[in-house]
Amino acid sequence: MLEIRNLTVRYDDRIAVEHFDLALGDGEIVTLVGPTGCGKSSVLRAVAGFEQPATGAIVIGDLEIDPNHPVPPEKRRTGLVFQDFALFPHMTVAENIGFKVEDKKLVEHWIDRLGLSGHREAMPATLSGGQKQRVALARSLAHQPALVLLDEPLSNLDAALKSSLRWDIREALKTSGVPALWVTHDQDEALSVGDRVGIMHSGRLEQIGEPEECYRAPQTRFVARFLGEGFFVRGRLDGATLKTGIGESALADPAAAAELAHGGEVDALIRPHDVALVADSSGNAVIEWSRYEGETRLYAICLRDGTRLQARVSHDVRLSDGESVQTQISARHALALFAPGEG
Amino acid sequence: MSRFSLSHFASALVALAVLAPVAVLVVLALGADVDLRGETVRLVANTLGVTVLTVMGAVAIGVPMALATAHCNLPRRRLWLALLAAPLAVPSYIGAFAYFAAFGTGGEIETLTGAAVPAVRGFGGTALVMTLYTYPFVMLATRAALSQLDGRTVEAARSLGATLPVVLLRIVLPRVRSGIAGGALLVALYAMSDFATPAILGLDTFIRSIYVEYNAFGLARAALLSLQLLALVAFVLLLESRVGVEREAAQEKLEITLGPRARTVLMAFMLVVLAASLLLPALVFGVWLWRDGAGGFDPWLAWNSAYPALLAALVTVFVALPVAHAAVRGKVGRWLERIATLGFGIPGIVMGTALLYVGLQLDFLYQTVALLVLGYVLRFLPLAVGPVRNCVARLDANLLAAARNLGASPFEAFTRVSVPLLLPGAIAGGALVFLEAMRELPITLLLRPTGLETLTTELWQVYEAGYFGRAAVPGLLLIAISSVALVFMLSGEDRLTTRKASRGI
Repeated sequence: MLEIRNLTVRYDDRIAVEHFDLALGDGEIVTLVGPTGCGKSSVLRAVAGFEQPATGAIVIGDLEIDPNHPVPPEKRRTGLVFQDFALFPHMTVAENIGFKVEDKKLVEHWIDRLGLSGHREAMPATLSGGQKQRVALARSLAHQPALVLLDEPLSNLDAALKSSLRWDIREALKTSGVPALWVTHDQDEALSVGDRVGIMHSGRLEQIGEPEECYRAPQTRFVARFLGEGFFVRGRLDGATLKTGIGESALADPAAAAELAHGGEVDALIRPHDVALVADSSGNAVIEWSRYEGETRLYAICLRDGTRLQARVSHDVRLSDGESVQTQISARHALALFAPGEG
Repeated sequence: MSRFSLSHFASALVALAVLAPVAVLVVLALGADVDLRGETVRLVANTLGVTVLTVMGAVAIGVPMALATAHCNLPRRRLWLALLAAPLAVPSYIGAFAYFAAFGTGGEIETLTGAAVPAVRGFGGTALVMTLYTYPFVMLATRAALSQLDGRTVEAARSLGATLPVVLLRIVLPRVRSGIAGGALLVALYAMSDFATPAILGLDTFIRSIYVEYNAFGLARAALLSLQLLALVAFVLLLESRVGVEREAAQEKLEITLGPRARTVLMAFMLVVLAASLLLPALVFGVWLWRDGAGGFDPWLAWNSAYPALLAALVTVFVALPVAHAAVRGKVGRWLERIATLGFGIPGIVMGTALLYVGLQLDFLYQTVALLVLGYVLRFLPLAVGPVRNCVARLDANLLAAARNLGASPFEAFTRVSVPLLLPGAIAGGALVFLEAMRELPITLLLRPTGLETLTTELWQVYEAGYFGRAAVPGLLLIAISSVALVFMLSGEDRLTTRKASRGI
């Protein structure tokens, strides 16, 4: 169990993390995602005890830590999995995993569990990136941590390995039942492995919730853009319906929408999957460019009023640059709404 | 983590300590009664002349040896390489002493064979002996450059109709110019700094005159000469820092296939070089042992050589740690490291003169082993910094964090992670310093407390007294120590380049 209350971390005069709150349930995996420098790694290092917070409390199990009651890293039982793995280069795989483990059965268990039996006596320098990652994870879990902290665990691996290892790690964490805080800058990774996702921006937690909720109903424009390609289309409220230049959409909560509106207008979040295109010489938009992606095609389009957005459609739809098209909202779900504004 | 740490502070202190001798020399030289003009011209001419001649000789031997050991179809190339590199480890006083004693009227060759041979003395003799012990610098640097070379260009040239000599001159050698130049500058540095060869063979260079002034209690004049010599050394170091290494991606190794006649000539040349540089000194000292026996040898000499060297090794490694730590942590640290490793460019006799003056000013240091150890440390620090830095670089801050995270206390993290990772570098660096300090002559000669006779000073006194037979055991012991040093240095050619690099900074 982990609880972070009102955490602030400062480097000299720069604020890295500010008023950060988070609670992890038993066996829960929370991913923290954000651009480089948003403070996500500082949160991790503060929990592990390698940064001294300026204010705030960190509760790990029955340990209560605050600036007046510091606890050294070795007493916190946080299994930190480092970005560069930080395997001890002078120890074998088994020695690394068993660094401080009394019960050698645990070492054997995690060696087998993570498929490292053939590399028990290997030195870290001889391992591949994926194997090093498994050793690092096994080392953390074999020490029976109260909590696992993963600092961009997949960023040093190649793309093909990333997607499979992602699930192996999630699986291992889930069977161990240990809660985990998983930091990444890759939004796909954050959305797919986390039970909940926290999105950080400039040292603050902008939103936290289930992946689907954060993707579909972002609370800020930053979250909307960060979790996927997103564009904004101006619309007018009409009862329980939103009317835009590219069609209508039902409102999830008309009262909340009215509160956001300014002069009866709001901005709706349109993702590339939310629109359909049909060639039409008297249509409402023009194709600017297109990109073939295999199963799909991505079209950049410009509406008659100058609004730019993108549409991802089946590869069967073949349109050329400059062609006039009719664009229509195709999403069945209610669109996320924002107060009208620039950008 | 702040950008400037304790190790920066310690490193800065070490850098200051290394610069201090130069400052001391300046202070000392200001008190010299200056009329050295006529003498200076003569010393510069002699020093530069013998340096140029030595460089030419070393290139003439070193470049063919590099080609032969790296790329020709010779049997047992690794063995040839090890043997041909060995003269680098032979202390110059062993070689110079052997040549001094073997040649000329009444020399060992005449005594044993009755054949009259000319003496190896003065200008030509000094250049010859220095050449025999410095050509490996050129050989190794050229080999390193040759190994970068793409062999397919040679095949291309030959398929276009060029003969082997033409290929070597027009395709191969122009591309390893900078390697040859790098080696040649190291030879120049050595030729300017070497104490024993000009001193024993009687050529008035800066080095020899500094020693003469020292013996005549003319410390101020010795300091002035030292500064003039340092200016020449600094010029060579500056040149060396400008020699860049061009890198080619070697697709295929260069191979040169020689005919049987060319092979015989080449191997005969190599044998002559080895006989002159290794066999002759070994024979001379061997003859002395056979003739005079080991009876007169005082075993305490070995201990007197060993324990200051051991102390120097321990202190040097201890000092090298913060310097290396700061060096891997950024630009400022790297600059401090460069300054701290300048000591290798300061000739031993110059370092000795400066520290002797320091000892005369500070009573508690004068005539102590501590002063001697300090001399060794300042001079041989670069030997330890190289290997230690390689290990420190492996000791990432995250590794200590990982150990703490897994439940180890700071002390346990230090003993289980830091120490095992640093130990190999510390041992390798310490061993090099120990072996070098055991063999060091000028610093030992100037700084040892009265009554402390070591293997090297014994050898020197035997030479000055002219009773050569007593040199047999210390000489052979020093040859043995040098062989161990050689094995250490050759345990990776890269270690030699570290050594080279540390010399060149």
